[in-house]
Amino acid sequence: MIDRYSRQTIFPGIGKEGQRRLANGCVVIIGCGALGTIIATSLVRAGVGKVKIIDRDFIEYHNLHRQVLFDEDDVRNGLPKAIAAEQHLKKVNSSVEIEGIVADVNYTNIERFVGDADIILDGLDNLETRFLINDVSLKHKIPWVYGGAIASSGMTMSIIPGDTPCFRCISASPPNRGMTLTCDTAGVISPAPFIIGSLQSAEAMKILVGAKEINRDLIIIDVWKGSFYRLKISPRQDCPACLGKYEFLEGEFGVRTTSLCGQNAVQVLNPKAKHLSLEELAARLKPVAQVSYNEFMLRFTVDNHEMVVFPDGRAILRNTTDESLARGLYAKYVGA
Amino acid sequence: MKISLKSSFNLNETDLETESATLGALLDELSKNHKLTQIEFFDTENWEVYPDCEVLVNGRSYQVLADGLDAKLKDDDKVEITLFTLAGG
Repeated sequence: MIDRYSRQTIFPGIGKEGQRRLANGCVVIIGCGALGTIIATSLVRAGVGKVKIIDRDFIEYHNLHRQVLFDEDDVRNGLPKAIAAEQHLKKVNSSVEIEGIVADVNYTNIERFVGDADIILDGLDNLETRFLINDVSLKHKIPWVYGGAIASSGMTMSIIPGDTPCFRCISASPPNRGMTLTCDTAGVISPAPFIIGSLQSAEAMKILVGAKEINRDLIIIDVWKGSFYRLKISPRQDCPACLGKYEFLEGEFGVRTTSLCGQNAVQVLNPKAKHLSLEELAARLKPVAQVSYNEFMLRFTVDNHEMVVFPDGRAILRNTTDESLARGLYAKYVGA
Repeated sequence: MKISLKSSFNLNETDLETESATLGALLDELSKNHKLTQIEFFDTENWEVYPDCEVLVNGRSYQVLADGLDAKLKDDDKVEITLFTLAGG
């Protein structure tokens, strides 16, 4: 059999032993947008043994300029990102165990999702869940690789529990809403997440093979200005997560609604919801709204807002960033 | 005047001798001394803190200070610059 990894194992940093370690590795990618699709593509092609991809959203046309795994058929078929990613990547490398999971990662379920992970990779679109990943990483001593991109800028840093400063050492908590740039206000061009996702993939490979050259700094790039520099992050002496207080994981900062970066949309999360029958919900909504659904999601439009509901009780309300409105419409039409 | 300077990056807690009389002037000075902070956190043309950064004076955000960036500094004031990470992906 032709060795598909021959060009990779020639590289001394990997070698045959490194390739064996990659094949024995398990990575969990949380979020499968621009960053997540780059990371997943790279690691599946590299021959990582198990790749778990978790994402809560479905594919839309405005994703296609930067989310490299998806195509127009995926949009027309109304596929969730995690499912489409799994389908595409299984054709790329059938020797890798790939699992796409359609779910919102939150404090009630994250420990279950990352229990078998050697590394957690960040492909998220919000800061709250990154603080949650940071907590679960430190609690269970699982390395994770942060990545973020907006406009032409990007950042990445590897967090190795017990070794490097953590994500809460950079800033103690998410900033107040409206303080930071989002994809809505600043947009995003594909080279920024492409580079950051690639750096994250390289970090994952280094961690899996046991390389010493792990990035311990916050790398900041701007592809428009052509700048690339590193900041040394100082451990924060009063960092709650480093001191073993996992406040995000304990749900103290759990949010029921999240404004989704770049989508003019709000997600409503109902942690108490059990499995929701979309068929029954469709029947209930038909008198008041035009409804369509498949096994993965149900869509209907109300007050000029499209709401998409998932079987786990989660919903996304389009055409607004008003979280209060989202909570209200959810309660009215889906039920809190 | 001696200011205590702190950040979540590169700068460990540092005492800085400065001639800047106001917070804005200090940020302008720091921003132009790129070797010290290594990041761009202050728009020196428009006199604005970039949205991905927060500046605290003695624990209070500059945004809630009565004089904002024109707030007068005094000896031993503590100025903390926090960089927020990017949220998109």
